[in-house]
Amino acid sequence: MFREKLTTRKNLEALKHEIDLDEHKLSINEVYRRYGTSPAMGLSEERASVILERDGPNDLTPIRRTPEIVRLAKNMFGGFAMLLWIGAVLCFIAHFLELYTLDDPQYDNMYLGIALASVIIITGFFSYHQQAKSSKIMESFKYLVPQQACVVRHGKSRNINPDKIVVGDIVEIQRGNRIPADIRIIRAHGLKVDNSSLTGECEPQVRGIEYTNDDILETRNLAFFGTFAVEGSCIGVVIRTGDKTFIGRIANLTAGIERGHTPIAVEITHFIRIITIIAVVVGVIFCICSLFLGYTYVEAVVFLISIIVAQVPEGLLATVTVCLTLTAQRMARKNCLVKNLEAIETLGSTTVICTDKTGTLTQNQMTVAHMWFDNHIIDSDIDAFHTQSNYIKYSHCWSALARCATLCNTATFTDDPNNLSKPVLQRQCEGDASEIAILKCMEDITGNVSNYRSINSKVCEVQFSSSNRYQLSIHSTDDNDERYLLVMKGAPEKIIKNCSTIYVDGCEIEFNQFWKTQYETAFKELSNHGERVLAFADYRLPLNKYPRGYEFDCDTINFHVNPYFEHFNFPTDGLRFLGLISLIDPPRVNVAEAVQKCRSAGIRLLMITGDHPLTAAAIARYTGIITDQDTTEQLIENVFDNNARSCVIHGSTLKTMNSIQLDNLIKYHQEIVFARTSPQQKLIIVETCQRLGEIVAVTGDGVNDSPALKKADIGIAMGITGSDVSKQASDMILLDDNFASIITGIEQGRIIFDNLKKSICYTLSSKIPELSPFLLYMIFQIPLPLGTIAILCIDLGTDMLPAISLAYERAESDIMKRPPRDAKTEHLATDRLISMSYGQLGMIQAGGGFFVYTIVMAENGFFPSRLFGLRKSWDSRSINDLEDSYGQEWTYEQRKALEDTCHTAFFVTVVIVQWTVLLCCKSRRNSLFRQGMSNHVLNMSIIFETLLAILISYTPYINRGLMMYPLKLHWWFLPLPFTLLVLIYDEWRKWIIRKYPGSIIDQETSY
Amino acid sequence: MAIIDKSIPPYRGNSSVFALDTSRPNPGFDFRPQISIEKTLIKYRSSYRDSWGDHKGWGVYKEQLDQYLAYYTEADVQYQQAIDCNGVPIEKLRPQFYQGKSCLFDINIFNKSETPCVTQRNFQYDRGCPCVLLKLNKIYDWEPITYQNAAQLPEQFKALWTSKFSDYILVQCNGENDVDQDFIYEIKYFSQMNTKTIGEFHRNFVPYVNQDGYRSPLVFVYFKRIGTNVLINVECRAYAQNIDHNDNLEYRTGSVHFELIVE
Repeated sequence: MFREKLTTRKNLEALKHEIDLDEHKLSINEVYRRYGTSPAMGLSEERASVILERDGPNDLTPIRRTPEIVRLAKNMFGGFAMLLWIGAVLCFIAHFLELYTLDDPQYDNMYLGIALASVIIITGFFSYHQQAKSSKIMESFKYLVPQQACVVRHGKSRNINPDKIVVGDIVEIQRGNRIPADIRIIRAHGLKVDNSSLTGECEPQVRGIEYTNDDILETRNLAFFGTFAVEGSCIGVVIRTGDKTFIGRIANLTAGIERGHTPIAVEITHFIRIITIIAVVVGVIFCICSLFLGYTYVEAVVFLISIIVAQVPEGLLATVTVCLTLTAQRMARKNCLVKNLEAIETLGSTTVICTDKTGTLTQNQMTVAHMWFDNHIIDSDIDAFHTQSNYIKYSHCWSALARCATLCNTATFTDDPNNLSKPVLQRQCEGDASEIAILKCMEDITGNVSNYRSINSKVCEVQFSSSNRYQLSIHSTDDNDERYLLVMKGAPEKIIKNCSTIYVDGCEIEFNQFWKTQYETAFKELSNHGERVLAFADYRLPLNKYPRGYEFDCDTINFHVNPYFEHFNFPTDGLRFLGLISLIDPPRVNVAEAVQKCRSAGIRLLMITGDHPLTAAAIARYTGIITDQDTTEQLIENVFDNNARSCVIHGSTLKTMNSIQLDNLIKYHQEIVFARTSPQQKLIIVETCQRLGEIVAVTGDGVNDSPALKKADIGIAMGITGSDVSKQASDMILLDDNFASIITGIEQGRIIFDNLKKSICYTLSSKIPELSPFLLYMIFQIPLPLGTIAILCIDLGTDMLPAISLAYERAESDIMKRPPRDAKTEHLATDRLISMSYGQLGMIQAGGGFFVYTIVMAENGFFPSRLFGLRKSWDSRSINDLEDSYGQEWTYEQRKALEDTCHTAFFVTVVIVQWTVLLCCKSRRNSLFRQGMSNHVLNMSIIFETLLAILISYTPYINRGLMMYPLKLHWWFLPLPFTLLVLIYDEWRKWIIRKYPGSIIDQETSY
Repeated sequence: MAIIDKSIPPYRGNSSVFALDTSRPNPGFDFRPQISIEKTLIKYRSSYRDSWGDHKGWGVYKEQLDQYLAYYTEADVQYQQAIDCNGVPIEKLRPQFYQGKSCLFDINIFNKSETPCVTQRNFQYDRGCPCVLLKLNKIYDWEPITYQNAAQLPEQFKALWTSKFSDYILVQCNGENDVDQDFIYEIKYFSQMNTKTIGEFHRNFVPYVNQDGYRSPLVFVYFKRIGTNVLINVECRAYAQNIDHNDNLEYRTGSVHFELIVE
């Protein structure tokens, strides 16, 4: 068993390393040789089955699932529940001890044991139900696996089930297929694959046969299992199958990662430890006392157990669960869907957010950002356009650039009246992402693109290809110019070579060195913004050479076969340079604000993206993740400079770093952008942060983010763009994909931590009035002032709703202005909280209880002097003539009726004093008058608990069932002085804390 | 407790806790000797006398009865509030009670009527037929409503009716179960009226209003012939119109239970 666990851990470690793959570097023949295959024949069936036997099916092996019963058991016996179980078992032991040693056993301990057990079972099922909804990680990966695959075997191609594919198989992939395994491409026809599940980049990537990059994700001649062939077709040889594939490793990594305990779980364990220590210490002290007082050993043990059990906060588990559930519901209303209840608090204590770029910070939609013409860079923001509208209206250069951009563009709006009636930015389009961006921009500024295109009809076009990196089209224009117009768009360095003139301020002038420098400056500036720059040029074809009706030959067929050989019957050089348009996937609207809020809340933001360093840095600057104004190059150099605040680090640099360097990197730089990172690296970054004691939140949407999402203390997936896998691996889902929603989450998380503290303070404060009657009963031998059932009525009845209502309490101060709590020093339950709750609020309550107890006893004949030492006779069923202070004689039943009346009065007192305890717990520093009474749930809960107390004490049958008796009206008013005392005392305490921060009262009582 | 009157309980009658379960106060009933506060058992060896500490013989029982009765035999020198109530109607007595007077319970009735239940005869413990003392619990202000005619009486007493009954709370003991009844062959009662077939408390002793030097009336039950070496559950009940009997073992009022084993 242990060995098995060790090997899984080793495997997991292995998975964290980058995939070891060199097939893309080898020549194709070497690959054939390695796998003993040939492109024409493929593998033989026999050999394929041998390999299948050896490697196993090409399938993602589901990890061994924890059986449901084990998960249920974990909820039933983990942490807090265990404490309660121990309590319950102790109760039963005490009960049986009594049963076998006393003639006249009480059933209190049995009731208590049963109540404890039911609380655990009910809350156990509740949290099991909450958990059962999540964790279907492996299932979600299955959607990436294709249904069918076309394989060449024995020289014949056939469709087989993809799990039968083995390494060395030759597979054929058509447009729209999912790639059935990791393949090295042998032949490709205009293949484009959607690698978004691996890299997070949404744009389809061109794939071919050439080896272009050392990086396996970048190089053109590899395609990966689970990715999608968007365009074209290809033939490839299988080099990895099943769990060894890129995605298989991610899947296994994700599923295999085990997360540590959530901060709240750690806090609760800490809390349990404190409570247990106190309970056992108090129990043992009084157990020894009782031996000295002359009780028997059995009695002493029963006392010990009763004292320990009396301090178990029965209702707290339910309170915490309900508080978290309520917050989860509130967050769901603000578009944060919480899958794991404990994660809510985790978000509040988060110290580092590792955020993905594409889709999280950005809109995942290319948009025109800037234009350069007339030697000006113009912001393409609509508002900016309107302020400069005159300038644009009269700029010839602008109209030429706009014409070029409109015409030399193959993207169209989806032809659907419904779609066309929408605002431009929201319309559905067909075509390449950058062309769509330009189309939308033009539609927005000039309007009616389709009409303009139809009157300037296209005569001929050359499509964009990754090899020529430009596209051109020839149009007849509507501006009474007989000449054909050639418009060209493409990569600037390509276009610049084809231009001889430049159009500036309405004049066509020579594209000389000066203008080239101007262009260089503009280009650099734009690309430094992380923008993708496209250049535009046009050319009027001379009428004499190219008259109307001229047959343009784009050499389409030849062009596709060998794009490097351009053979057109028209010139593509000597063009007129018009300008640049730069595109970017812009940050979402609220992101910058949200980042600012994170920062003021003391949370570090790290950007981890698969994107290019320049683009990443630009977005980081836009959103405020990087505040350093240095150039990106400088930032990249900053990596090894521990004094620099910000840095940008490339995945390949990251790969060379050891863990110490990585620790230093994250420790010394406040603002870090990780670019070109692999899924494994994301995971390593998260692990490094956690090693440094940070509580890490990770946002992401792609499959590639899922290991990091799983490993993070809280994984946050995107609801709209997020992949199924990422949603399964995460703890929380942002339904609106809006990074700003995280802020709400953090705020709620922090509030709930504060409020849980208040809730615990409130719940624990009734422990002293519950415990002290027993202690006095034991030591002074007075009749028991408060019985077990009454204690249960408080813990599981009247105290529940008020404790829960504190979850609705608003924050005391601007919690988003303070740093996240320090997990090491700032605990949920501190000794100060307990001393405050037990020692102060609890003591006043207990005082009130005993006061009322004494009054009730005295009014019925037993003066305090009579009570001392009375226990034995009082509890003896054989004594039927116990004399009180008036000489009246009481039978056993009559005394017990009086005792139960006292229990009721004590219970009611606790309820009434808890009114103001609840009000005091509303705030930890603020005066109640400042905090206000706007928490209506809390106000209602006070009324509710009072009504419940009235119901319990006055309703026939119910009161007898709970061993209560109706109280006389004036007994209800006896606790009021204590109620007031609590309020006055606590207001005074808080006033001191506010007035003299750091004073002894502040140090000892502020929790 | 300055706010509470030292001599008059704030809650009396139906508003007191005595009335909680039964809607009106119902006095308890108790027996002596009771040597342990945890037991209601009277168990001894009739041939064996011993003193305190050894629980085999009847010595302890005798000593306890002696001690208890000493309170009645000693003259009340401290308060001197006792008055002779013989033949005085309760209407005249009641105001005196509130002034602190109380009726004198003449312990000599047990001696006078040649009862066996006297200390000189060891309360008959040595003969294996123990005398057990019964007394009614004191409850402030509680007064019995005695039976005024034979028709109101419970069935078993109807034959015994005399007009004197209207001044008394009646007492009868019996085996709790049929088996127990089989072992009780003969019981006699010694009390004020001295009917021997039934015990009684004179109603002039109540209401109890916390008088100094008050003494509860007593009845001796004499188990003249009972089975030996066997446990006998005995139940004694007090009878008046406002004493309810609840046979529920949990809520015993108006009756008392004890066990006898005579070896």
